[in-house]
Amino acid sequence: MKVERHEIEWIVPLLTLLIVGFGMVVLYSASVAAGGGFFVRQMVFIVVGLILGISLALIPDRFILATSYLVYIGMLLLLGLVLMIGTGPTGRWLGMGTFHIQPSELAKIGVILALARFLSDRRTDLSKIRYFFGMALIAVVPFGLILIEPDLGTSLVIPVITGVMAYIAGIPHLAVLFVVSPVAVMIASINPYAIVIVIAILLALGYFAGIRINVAVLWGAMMGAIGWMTPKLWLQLKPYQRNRLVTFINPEADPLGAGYQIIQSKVAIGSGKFWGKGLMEGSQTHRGFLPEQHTDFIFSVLGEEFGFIGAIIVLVLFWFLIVRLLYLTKKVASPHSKLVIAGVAAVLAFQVIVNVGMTTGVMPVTGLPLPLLSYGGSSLLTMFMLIGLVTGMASRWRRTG
Amino acid sequence: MNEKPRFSAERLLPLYILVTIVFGLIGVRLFRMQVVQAETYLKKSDTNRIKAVELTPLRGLMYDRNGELIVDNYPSYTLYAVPYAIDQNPEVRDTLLTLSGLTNEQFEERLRKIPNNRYTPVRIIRDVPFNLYAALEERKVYLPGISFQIEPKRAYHHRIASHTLGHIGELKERDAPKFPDQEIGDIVGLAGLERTWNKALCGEKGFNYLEVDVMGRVIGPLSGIDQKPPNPGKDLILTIDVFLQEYAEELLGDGSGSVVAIEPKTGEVLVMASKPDYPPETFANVLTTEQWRALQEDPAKPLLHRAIQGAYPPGSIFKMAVLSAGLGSGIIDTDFDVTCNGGLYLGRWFSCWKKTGHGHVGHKESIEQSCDVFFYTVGLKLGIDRFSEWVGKFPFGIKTGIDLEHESAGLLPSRAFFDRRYGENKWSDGQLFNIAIGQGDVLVTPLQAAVYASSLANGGWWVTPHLVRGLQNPDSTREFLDQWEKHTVDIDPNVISIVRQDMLQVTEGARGTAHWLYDPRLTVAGKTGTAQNPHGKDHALFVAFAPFDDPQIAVSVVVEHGEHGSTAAAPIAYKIIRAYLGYDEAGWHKYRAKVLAEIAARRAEIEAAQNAASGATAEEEPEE
Repeated sequence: MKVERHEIEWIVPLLTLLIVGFGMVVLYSASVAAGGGFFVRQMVFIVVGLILGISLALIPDRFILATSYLVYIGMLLLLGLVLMIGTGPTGRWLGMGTFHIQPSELAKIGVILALARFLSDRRTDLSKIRYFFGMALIAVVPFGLILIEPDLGTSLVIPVITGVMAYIAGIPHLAVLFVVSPVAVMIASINPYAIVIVIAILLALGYFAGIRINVAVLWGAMMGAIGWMTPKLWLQLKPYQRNRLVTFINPEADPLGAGYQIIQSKVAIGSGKFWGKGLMEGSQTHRGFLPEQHTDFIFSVLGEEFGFIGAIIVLVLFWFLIVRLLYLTKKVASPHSKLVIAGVAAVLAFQVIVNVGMTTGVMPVTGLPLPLLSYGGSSLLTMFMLIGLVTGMASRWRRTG
Repeated sequence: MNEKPRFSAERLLPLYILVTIVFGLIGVRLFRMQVVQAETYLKKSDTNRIKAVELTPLRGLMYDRNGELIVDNYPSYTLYAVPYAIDQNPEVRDTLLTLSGLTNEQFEERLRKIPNNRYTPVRIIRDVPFNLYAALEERKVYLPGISFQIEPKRAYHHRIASHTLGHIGELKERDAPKFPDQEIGDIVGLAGLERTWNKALCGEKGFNYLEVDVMGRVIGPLSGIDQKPPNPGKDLILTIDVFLQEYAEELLGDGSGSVVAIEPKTGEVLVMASKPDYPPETFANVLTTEQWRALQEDPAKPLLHRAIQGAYPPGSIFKMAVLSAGLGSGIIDTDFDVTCNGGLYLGRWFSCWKKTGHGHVGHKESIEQSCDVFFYTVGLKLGIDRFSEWVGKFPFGIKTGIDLEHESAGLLPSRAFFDRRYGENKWSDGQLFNIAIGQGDVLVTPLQAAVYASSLANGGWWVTPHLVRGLQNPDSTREFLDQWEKHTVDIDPNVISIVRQDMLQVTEGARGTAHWLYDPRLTVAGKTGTAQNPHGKDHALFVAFAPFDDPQIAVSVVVEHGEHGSTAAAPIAYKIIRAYLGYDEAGWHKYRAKVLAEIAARRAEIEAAQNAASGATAEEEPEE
């Protein structure tokens, strides 16, 4: 390792504040359309978030490292609590008077910290099966707890965080292939030829990763079995269960249920054209056609009122923020910091892609908020805390050269 | 595989590429939507005409046990206006102000309630009078931006039992956790039976896909798309007998008190009256702060549901429980007697209510003449622990479990209670004497008293009292409910049988405290009571059941400040029993006819409003 020095990381917080600032302009319009009040409350959340974020940025790395598992266990307790006494329209909140928190948002912090500590441990070697399962266990518990809330969208963030962090930590390529293969085969099972092609590609990739022949045979057989079973299981499902899955994957198959939201959201974005209709001028937003305009569908308001140009500016800011974070994983010296930063980049990238994908009608309706833009205290505070954490880490122990 | 590629920089490259490709694809998607196909989407947005509108299901009605309609629905109209449309068409404002009588300032204030809102309809007038609604509907074509929403409201054919029936209202955020299936703003039951049976009453929401124009006016239902009709709520068939209830409320008059009558074998509540009360429509409209405060601070406490929340010392009506405890625990036997000289000395003089004394008193006389000295002695022999254990076998000190919220459990003192209340060893047998004659710390609700009377009527068991017999589905099929628990009074049935027999002496014995009401046609077992009231005149109580051999009705009456159970409370109970058991049938018939005649005008008014509304909605249907 070469010379280490301190250097304040200012690009990450600057990009964050730019996104939040632009977001507040959009939220102002959405808040009026949704009946008012959300803008002011979000303002309060931002102030609290800034205080929390700055405080976290100032905490020394070793203290964060030491308390990682404690934070993780705390988050698990909150997740357990919400299952027992959860309130709110979907039972995902913990209420304390008029103040509610959504533990599934906060859980992201716990998972990132716990995984970073586990994976940065010198003894951890992901090519050994027991460490692989140790890592999987850290992820599976919160994943399961959030999944049965039920909040499929948020629960999927956990495996994505885990995957990216394991990848950065140097998990063998073969392990990645093993984990990815059943999902890939299941998706391909719509078409028998697709199954064959996908299995062939996976086996070829396995060959390059140095798979042993007996393992390859076993693996190939398992993938074949999954490909063969999936259509059979599909037919076993009751018609209404199948319908639910179909509308989840393709909402427009149900033009009046989930599809209604997507159609209205697409009309909002599309009709914004290149320059947008102008602030407070969106007819979709303000005439009650757009659902959840201040939370999950805030991007549709952006698209309608600020057009292609506004949407692209926000996307580029997000892209720049994610790429900057990935770059920082190389710049910071400690493996622990690298992993935390990678986890935060994964959360941001996944949520932006899934949310924008949803509003533009190319991804299922999952109810994931758009980070830093959607109205919601838990989501916003979580993002501010994560950004604060990585800014602090990136500002210390940076490697030069 | 021996080199560990931990944290190698080359692993970052695929991530950079992946993120960039996906973001690029999203950019392409946006370009396609917002540039290439923008005109198509803009056209869709301009002609956007599908709007999903929630359809509120009709709330279930409430009938009495004989099918007499008590609680009905009628439509109320709320007027909405779209600010943008009003600004574009000044003549709409003029027409609206002339017809409604609103001032321009009032109108402006309501229209601009949400800052910067231009397109969302805003509520301007709630509960629009029907003639204004008709006048505006007639000019609908010239009034862009004006629309109506129908909100169901409750109409009361019989204006009775306000506390028990409860009321409905808009679900506020703070109450939302109590209604997991409902959304904020929905109309839900907030009190009384409306609250406890809300789930059955409220039904399931439906959706309608309506065609709307640029101003947000509804043009009509969208053809070719199925709407999801709402599922109406279920009607409640109450256990209440509406005429008996009205009669009981009349008998209580302007005074304060409560009447509860129960069918002992089933636990069905026939009457649950609480006075003073308030008109049942009180909470149907938005109350002003002053109105609300006036109701809450009224010294007569009209909001208190005395039948379930009023806790009174039971006075002498408690004596059957104490006698049962004495005989049941074996502390005394049926030969036990005392000599009453008008009181008993124990540290100080504890007087009997009859200062001249009752003379020789056995268990029979003790109930008939309500001798206090007898019960002081029994109480002393029992001691506090046995007292609370054995008296507690009756439904005292616990909630009866009736299907209403906020029921009081009353209070049955125990050693622990006295220690807490007065401090350990700081209380004496004096406290025990007091509760042995139903005074002092012991508290009973009128409902508990009626359930207690039921348990004696049945010879030692009672059924959880309830107010709903069954549910009626929208297709008029009925489901009767039998989920109510039977509880046994864990005391030898022979003891209960002796105590029952003694109760008969109260009305039939020559020296019985209610003998002056004796009616040779009836066998009424009863007990008078007077609850000492340090704040004013004593409260009068009476519990009874009849006929003695096959009890059909158990009653408890409390008349606050009525002074003597025998003169203030017992006559009311007698009248209720006579009416229910069908004595003086002609007179009862006349009474029912009188009640029905009184409500006829109200009933006609409600029906007119309902018919007008169904006519108005029929007009909105498309003509094809």
